[in-house]
Amino acid sequence: MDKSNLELFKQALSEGVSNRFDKMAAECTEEIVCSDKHNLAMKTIIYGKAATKRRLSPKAKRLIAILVAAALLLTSCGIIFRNEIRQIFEEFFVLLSYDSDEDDIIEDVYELGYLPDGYSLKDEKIRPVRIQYEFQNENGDYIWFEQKLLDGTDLYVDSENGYTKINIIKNYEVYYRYTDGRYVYVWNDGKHSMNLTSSVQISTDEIVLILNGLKIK
Amino acid sequence: MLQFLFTLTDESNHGKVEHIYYTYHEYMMKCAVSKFQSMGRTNALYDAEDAVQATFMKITKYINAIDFSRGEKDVKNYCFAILSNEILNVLSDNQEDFEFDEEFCSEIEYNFIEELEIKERYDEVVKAIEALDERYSTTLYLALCKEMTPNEIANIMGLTVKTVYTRLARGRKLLLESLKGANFNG
Repeated sequence: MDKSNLELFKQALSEGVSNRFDKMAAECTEEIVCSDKHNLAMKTIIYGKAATKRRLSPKAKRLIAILVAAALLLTSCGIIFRNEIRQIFEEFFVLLSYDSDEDDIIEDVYELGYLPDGYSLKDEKIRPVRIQYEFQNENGDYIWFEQKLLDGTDLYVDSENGYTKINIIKNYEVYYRYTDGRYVYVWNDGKHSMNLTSSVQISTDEIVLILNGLKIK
Repeated sequence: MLQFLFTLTDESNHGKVEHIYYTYHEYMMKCAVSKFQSMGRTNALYDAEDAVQATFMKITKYINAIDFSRGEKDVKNYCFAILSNEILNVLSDNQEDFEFDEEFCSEIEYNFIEELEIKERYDEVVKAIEALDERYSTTLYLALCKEMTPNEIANIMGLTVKTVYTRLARGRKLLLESLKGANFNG
């Protein structure tokens, strides 16, 4: 077999295959908009689970859990039940307990379309199973919005736990509780549990505006 | 739920896959959508997403089979060879009904390159390869240009070795027939 003919054929093969695919791509004139699921799947294939989920190894999880448990034992009950520190630990355990083998993540990420006057976004945390926004005004008053997956272990919003049903707003049954100096409103949309926590009382009209202004990001 | 791969511990391989993604992903989607639309699939975009995801999983798994020193065209052709195979998988059309004949296959191989008369009609050969079904042209490409064995091709494509041999033989046969046809008409 003539080697130069073979090399020439390889060159023709490379050119022919490349041209064919160029033609195939050119035949598609519409703009391709891939679904969010596809983009997430591609991100995971390209970057791996660790990059997207910040997963810790089981050994590291156990070690951190032991250290945290020891720290809790040494801390007085009054400090443990301070709301700020409790929230830090709660957030930490949410990250530890998240099993990235599970299929469920928050797909519809909500955001507030309406805010009372003077409030602006101070912080946001978008995680696979928890969304949190913190808004504040110049007086230091704050409003927190949190969204989690509804999994049956959420707050039991009944009168035994101090909740009062206040209204049905935008098809949500909204419950209210005043606790630890905060005004807490909770509801769910069938897939997610959501709550709004404020350091100052918000009028019912404002609550209605906030809930009506909820939209998917 | 997809079986996600976390296979890359080598930073250089990671960079290669990332480069392929940013360079060819949109292009692959267009090729796949175009192919599925031409086959009359109603959800061409979703089928294309499935095919492209499967392609990248294979590219990631066999990243060491790509030789970046050979140039971008080589990388592109390799990626699209895998894509065309995954498109066939989605279409469930990745089986050959050609009867595998070892004697026929070896006979074709012996005279094939000489019969092409490629020096005299290079452009015609390129056009004939363009017109060839991509399952045959890509298999020939992997065997000759990437110098992969039928076993290696079968592993990457998820085919049997016999199917690979069949495609190589059929590809050569169809190429020669189309070139003879071009001569007759021209």
